[in-house]
Amino acid sequence: MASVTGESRYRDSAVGRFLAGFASTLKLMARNKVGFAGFLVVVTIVLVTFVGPIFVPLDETVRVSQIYKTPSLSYPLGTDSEGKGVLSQIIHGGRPILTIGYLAAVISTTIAVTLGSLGAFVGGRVDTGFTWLADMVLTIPQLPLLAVLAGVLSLNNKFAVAGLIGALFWPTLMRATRAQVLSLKERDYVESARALDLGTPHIVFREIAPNMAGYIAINFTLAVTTSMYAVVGLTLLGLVPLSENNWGVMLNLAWTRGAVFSKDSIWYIMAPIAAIALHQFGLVAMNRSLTEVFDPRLRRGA
Amino acid sequence: MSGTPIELEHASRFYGSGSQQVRAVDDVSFTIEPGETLCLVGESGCGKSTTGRMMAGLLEPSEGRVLYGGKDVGKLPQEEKKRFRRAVQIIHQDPYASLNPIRNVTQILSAPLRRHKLTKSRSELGTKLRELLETVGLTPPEEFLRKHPHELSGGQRQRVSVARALTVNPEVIVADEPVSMVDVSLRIGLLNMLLKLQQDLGVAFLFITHDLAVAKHFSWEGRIGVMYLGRMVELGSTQRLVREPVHPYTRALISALPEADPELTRHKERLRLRSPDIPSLLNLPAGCPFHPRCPKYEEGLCDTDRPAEDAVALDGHLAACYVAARELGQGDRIPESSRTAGAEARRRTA
Amino acid sequence: MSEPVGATQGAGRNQVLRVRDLEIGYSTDRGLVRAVRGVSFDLEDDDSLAFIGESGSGKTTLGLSLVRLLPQSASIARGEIVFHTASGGELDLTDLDDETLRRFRWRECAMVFQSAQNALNPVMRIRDHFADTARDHAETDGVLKGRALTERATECLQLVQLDPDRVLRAYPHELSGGMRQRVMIALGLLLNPRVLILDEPTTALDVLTQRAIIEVLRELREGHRFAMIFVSHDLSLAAELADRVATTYAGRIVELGDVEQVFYHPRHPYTVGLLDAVPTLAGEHQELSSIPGSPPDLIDLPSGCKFHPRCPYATDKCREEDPPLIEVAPGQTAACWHWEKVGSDWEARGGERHERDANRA
Repeated sequence: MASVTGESRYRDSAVGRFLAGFASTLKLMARNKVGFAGFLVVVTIVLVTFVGPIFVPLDETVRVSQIYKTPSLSYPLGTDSEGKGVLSQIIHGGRPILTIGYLAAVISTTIAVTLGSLGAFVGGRVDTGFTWLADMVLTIPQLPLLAVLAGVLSLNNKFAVAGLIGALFWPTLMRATRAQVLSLKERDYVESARALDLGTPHIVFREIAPNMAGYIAINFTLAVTTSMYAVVGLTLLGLVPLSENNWGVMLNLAWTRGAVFSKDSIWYIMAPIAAIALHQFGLVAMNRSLTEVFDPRLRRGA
Repeated sequence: MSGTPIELEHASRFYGSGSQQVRAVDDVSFTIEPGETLCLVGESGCGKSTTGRMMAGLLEPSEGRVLYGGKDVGKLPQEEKKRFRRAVQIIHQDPYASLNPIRNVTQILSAPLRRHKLTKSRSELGTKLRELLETVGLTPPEEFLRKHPHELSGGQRQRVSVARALTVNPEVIVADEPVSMVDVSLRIGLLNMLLKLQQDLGVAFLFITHDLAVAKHFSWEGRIGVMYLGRMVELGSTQRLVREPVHPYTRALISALPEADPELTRHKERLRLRSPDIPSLLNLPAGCPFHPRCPKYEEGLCDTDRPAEDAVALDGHLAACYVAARELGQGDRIPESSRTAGAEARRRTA
Repeated sequence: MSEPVGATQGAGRNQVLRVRDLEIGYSTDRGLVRAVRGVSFDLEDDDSLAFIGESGSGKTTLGLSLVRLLPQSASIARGEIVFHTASGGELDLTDLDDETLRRFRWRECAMVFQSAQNALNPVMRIRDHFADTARDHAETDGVLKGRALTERATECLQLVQLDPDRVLRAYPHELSGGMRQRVMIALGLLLNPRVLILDEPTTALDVLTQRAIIEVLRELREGHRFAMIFVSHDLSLAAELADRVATTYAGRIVELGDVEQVFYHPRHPYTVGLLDAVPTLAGEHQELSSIPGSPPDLIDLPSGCKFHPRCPYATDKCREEDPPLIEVAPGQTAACWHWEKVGSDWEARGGERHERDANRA
């Protein structure tokens, strides 16, 4: 019984509960080595791009003599076509891409989960309507549309870009969520909860939603990668304003300034690609840990 | 425990519509008295589970009524409806699907206690949880409180399901094949635990099973109802039904069941069916649904009218068979149309 | 391990299968699952042997190993599985090349799998299933096809009491579960195997359908057409159909004997426990008891006799030493140090049985 009272002491303070939950989640993440490594990579990249700029100033000095230099002590990732250090550009150029990527993922996941579960739960015309909407969005060729919209609307705002990507990328997850809820709500334990008169909120938030949390979290990380590719793609094509310094702009410049045709510029081109790829790898690897966090059945030797 | 009888009155449940309509349960009536045991026995698709779900208020009858203390459940005021809801609990067949995999035993059992304010303090909740686990034979309870379903065996999961049903002090437990997916060596332990519950707490059971031998063991002092293609074909006290079955379908089931005794099972009298195949619910034969397979089939008599549930009625023992009714001297219960059709057919063959 | 009793004796009976000291394990993340541990038995050509056990007793793995259809993660660590072929030769299944193995399966030994009724390809007519089976296991001297195939398929379907004209033309979904199960048995018979292995042949079927399958198997058995091995958790199926019964627990045979011996004079406490746990329909109400505890974890087996944590007879000796199969009666062996006590207790309770006998009469 000692364990139960011990646990309930934590419950008394919200902070205590949060910390305990956070600690045990970290412990679960650490069970899977690949997953934990991915988690560390993602955390590192987020820290470097969001906190790093405070400590490392953006190198804006043009040095004609230093064009396309290979890595050295003073320029750990070499220099670009104007002799500026690439490392400082990488550090400063991550934040906009990551912000848009995560924001767009939040938007698309929220739309998907809300419409999907609502449709499955309510059924009838609501469900038909949402499914129809999803099918419509799904049939639109997304990148061309993004391109057209980006041309028509002035996308000089990060949030507008994120909103646009989020509004287009939800249907796949919405259909998956709908299918999951449809199957979960027929489970025997949900029927038992009905017989016990535990109420709809309990059934939705305690019995059904937690069973989808892992799935949704994983899809969220995938949505982040998709959105990042989308925004990088748009930037590369020059459809999003180039006012800022970011990984996409770096690639665009590499393209427009002919760096892609020069053998010397390999470090300059590879740096943003590597940064993006590393981040995506981190997210995908992290999924391994996420499945274990959300599914007690996978916690081996627990 | 307070006792309120629950009754199914001409209850039916249909699925689909038009020519695709399936009558999963067709005009079934019976009452569960406080503290009694009634076993529903039948093969897959006979409607026994659907009947159980109607009894538990989880499905509404398409026709007919469910009566709780004589009152139509569909028309009960909100508060009383909730009381009925809680009065009937259900235990499922599949121990791997009946518990939410991500909730541990404490969470599973405390949700209903909290929701219905059945325990007042945290310490009372702890005591109640331990008490429940002990009741269902999960001892020592401390060992199980923090466990998730995947850390329990099939038998233990079923016990947690029973404990969960007991949280709200039910009057009736609908147990839908609770032991059929549990290992042989653990089955009887589970059944005996349920029997003890019934003696100690006075809970009534609607026990659904495909296995007559299990039904006999579980409800020796109670009743058995045999269902076939959505209908109740025989209903009576277990001892009588097992010893002197009236309906040919019940007889066929008894004679077909293999027994764990080589001598007995190899020399059992077998009833030869006219056809081994069960008709589809979509295309039910006219008259008695069993007539295409029945060894006692008589042209005219069996395929004209559908026999009423109480075509044979002997001191509360009911069977839906006209041939048996005639043989047992209850020929007057056969409707005119079937009687004449039968007589005509006999004359033609003679 | 000693030679099982009752092997290769009596005139006119030929041994078809000899299994010795078979050891099979599955490698998993958690460790080695010891699914079959030191199993030995013999099979005569008109024998019907039932392996009874619960989930995790290793009975299905054993069945699969006899046709060498074990999953990738499983490996035979030790022992031999020797078939005596129709031509008089010997085949050791543990080392057989793929080609010989392919010809061996279905010709010498066929298997009907658990939930076989769902194993038919939904887009193929039953006739094509027969043609496929014939082609897959063709001898070098030619494939069974054309009229010969139809004749043989018709014969097999008649053996399982199906109407060949209708069934051969049908798609699987047009047949009921019980009919599909019988088709699977007929497919098993197609190439006239000397051994037919049936894994849970009646599980998940309704009582009346189950009866039809049992009658088919009984008739096949009485025709002495081949040897049969059943694998089941269902004691009553063994009571119906087996000549000999092997009770399996934690991957090994704990009791082996004639069906009457095992059912009426069991000498292993696990067999006794199973018999006490199964309700019968005939007779009065019986007091039934279950075996305490749960089946063991095959990765982390208990010391000594694997049944000791659940056994009422367990002593220190049981906790330390795993008992071998001991001859307890002619043709009957049991792996229990206390088999004499188990036996005398059982016979002392004989009153119960007589009562049952009386009820039966």
